[in-house]
Amino acid sequence: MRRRLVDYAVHLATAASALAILGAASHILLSALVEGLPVLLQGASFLLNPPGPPGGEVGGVGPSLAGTLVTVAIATIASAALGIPAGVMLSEARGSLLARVAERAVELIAESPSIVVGLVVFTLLVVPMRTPSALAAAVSLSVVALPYVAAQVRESLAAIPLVYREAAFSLGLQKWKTVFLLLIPMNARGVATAILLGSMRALGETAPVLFTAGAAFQAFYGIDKPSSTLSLLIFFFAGTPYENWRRLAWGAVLLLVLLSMLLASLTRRLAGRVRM
Amino acid sequence: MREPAVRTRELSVWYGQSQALHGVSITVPRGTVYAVLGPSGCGKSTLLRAINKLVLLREGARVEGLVEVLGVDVYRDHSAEEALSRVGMVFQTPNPFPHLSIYDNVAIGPRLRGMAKGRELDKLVRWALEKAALWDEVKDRLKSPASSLSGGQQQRLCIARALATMPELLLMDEPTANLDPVNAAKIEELIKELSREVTIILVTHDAEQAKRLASMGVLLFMGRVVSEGPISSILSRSYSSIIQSLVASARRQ
Amino acid sequence: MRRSIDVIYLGIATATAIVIAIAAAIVLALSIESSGVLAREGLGFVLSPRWSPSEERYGFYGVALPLVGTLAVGVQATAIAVALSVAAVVYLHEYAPRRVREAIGIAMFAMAALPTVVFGMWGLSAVAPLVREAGLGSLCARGSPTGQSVFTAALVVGLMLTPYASSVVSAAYDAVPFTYVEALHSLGAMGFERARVLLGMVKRSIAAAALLSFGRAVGETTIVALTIGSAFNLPLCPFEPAHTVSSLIASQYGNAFLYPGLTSALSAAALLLLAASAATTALGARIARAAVARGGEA
Repeated sequence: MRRRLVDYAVHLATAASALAILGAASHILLSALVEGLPVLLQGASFLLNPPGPPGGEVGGVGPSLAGTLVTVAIATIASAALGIPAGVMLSEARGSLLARVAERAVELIAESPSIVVGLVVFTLLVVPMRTPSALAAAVSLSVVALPYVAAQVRESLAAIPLVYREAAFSLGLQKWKTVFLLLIPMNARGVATAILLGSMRALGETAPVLFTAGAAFQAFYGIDKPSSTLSLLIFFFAGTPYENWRRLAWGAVLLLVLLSMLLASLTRRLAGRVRM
Repeated sequence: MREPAVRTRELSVWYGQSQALHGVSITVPRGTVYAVLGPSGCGKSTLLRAINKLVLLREGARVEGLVEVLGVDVYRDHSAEEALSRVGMVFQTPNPFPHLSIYDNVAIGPRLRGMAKGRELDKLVRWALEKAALWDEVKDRLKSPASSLSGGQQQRLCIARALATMPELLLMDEPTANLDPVNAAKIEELIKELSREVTIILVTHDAEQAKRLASMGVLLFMGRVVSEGPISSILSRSYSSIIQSLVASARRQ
Repeated sequence: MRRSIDVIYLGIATATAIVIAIAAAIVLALSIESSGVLAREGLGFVLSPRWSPSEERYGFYGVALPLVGTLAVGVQATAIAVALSVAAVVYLHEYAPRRVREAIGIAMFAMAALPTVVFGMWGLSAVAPLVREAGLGSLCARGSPTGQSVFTAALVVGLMLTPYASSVVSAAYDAVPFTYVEALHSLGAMGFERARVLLGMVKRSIAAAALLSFGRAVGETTIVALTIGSAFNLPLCPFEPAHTVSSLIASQYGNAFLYPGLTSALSAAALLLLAASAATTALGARIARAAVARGGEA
């Protein structure tokens, strides 16, 4: 029957698409593994040393790793410190003027391309300081991560079943005390997920740090000095003609992939579903 | 005398671990309205869906036993698909495709089967809508979306949609349960009319409806057949007293 | 009693106010910074293909070429992402056995968690050479010799966008009430016939997925910068190298202190990006919300 033939053809075509997606994902992960593992297996020297000279030995990603850890840590804390209260406001004071404006503000930041955020931090922080710095990079990343934290907190608070909400409020405490002493602890998972999401965002971004961190791959000079991150190292070393630097970039790719997967699985375990 | 419209022997259906039908054997003669009666949860809907294999869409569904539809063993025979294409279904809550027009809803069955095109299709759609007693109400707005119709009209549209494929057997799952009395009465009229040309299996929880419309039927309780035969005999006592005694004996076990 | 509530509320309100201030700062800083170049060039900024920074005078900055590039990559990447997503969703829901469904689910999850720079690296080292070796550049007048081109960028960005687009379409497809699926089966509809009707029911969500993807494609920098070839070119043919507004901004990171007018130009370009990304994403989100509100679609 002609219908059956068409059905079969559609079956094949859609399966091919699904296979293409599967194939691409596998190829990316396998490439990272195959190219990066030999570099990673150098062990401590990969994690601690700076990159080798161009055309020389491979070296390591020490300073960039330090930069990543410092900036992501600061970004996580900052985006949580602002994002959690903002998320609470968005959920619990929904109709109020402040909440409505904040809703638009969070949307705007979320819609801003991350390079735009980097450029703004550049003009507001790097130019006056006359130098790129880990601090500026951390600020950039905090801004990028912020909307995800706020949105996640808002969603998980909104998802608290009505019965528990009513129970909490029936205890007669004032509104905000109830929210913080009862609803938030009820919702610890949601808040933890939000914080993890903020971390994930900060870890994976390159564009915001492009203008703000500098390109100091040889050493970590301090928080107010030029620095680098793993993602920046990959970005710069990817297209270089020097083979040892390209291999180093792959090592950094594998490290970054492992860290991202770790955070992603943690988030999924906590939340059941990852908000993309 | 042709073979019965439907014949099942020792039909059992499981959803995962729980068994919904236990060894159900029924015979549905051609040209009748055959009622499937019982309290809610007794397996009426499952039985209906076992006939047109819709039951296999559910998670963990398993079917054992024989189901013959229009003479074909639908779970084992290769020509099952052909036989089932002569079976139509109407559901408890009217479900016309909301984003399609009235015309397209009726036409979808014939289009899929390549039954008719162009003018021929228009005639077929009109015929189905007339048979479903809906033509006069919609003839001027065939292109309007199906969602613009009222509940009763939507159900008649679903009947037209099923009729357009010229089925020999029509499965109806409590078609009037979610309608007001006026529309329910209209649909019952329709069923009586249709039964002259099509065999109808009517699932219903309403014993009076069964008495009004059906000539034969089966009474199910907890997935098992209690009695089968002419309506008058399976409902010889009042329906509620039958149910009461069944519930009581189930409790005793 | 009253004092402690006020403290908590004050804390939340302050944080919220800071968030609002950040959003305002982004818009204000960009606007103020870009006023310089916009005052000097006006519409020429958008229409002129000339990009010539200069150390002594202010130089002339026109982003017409990167704008075309952004549009080209955006449209192509969105097309790839939507096509792949719809096909994948149809396959997963109508044809795929349970195990395959799970495998694809895991693959999508992994892809969604990958940093864009990883996609970029892969694009540069695996996809660009493929494009180069397939000789696709020779199909175009100014074809790329390295394999880095608009198409390469669009392909990788499209892949990056696919997990999210799929999740939007898949959620909508799943949310169609089961009774319609039963009705389709009872009419004897086959896989692709069911898909046609069901996709028709979720077309708003598909549109939303497309718009959201386009918004993200417009803002994407890392992947594009590594795979597009960074050339001031009018990419009428996809296998040519080009710039997008985002890759242009990225490529100038080192020069910002050297050329006086550059920061202003970059801010103006960033403002354009922000406007485009915000507009399409907001529209996409509104369509998605409207689809849910109308019921029968998620």
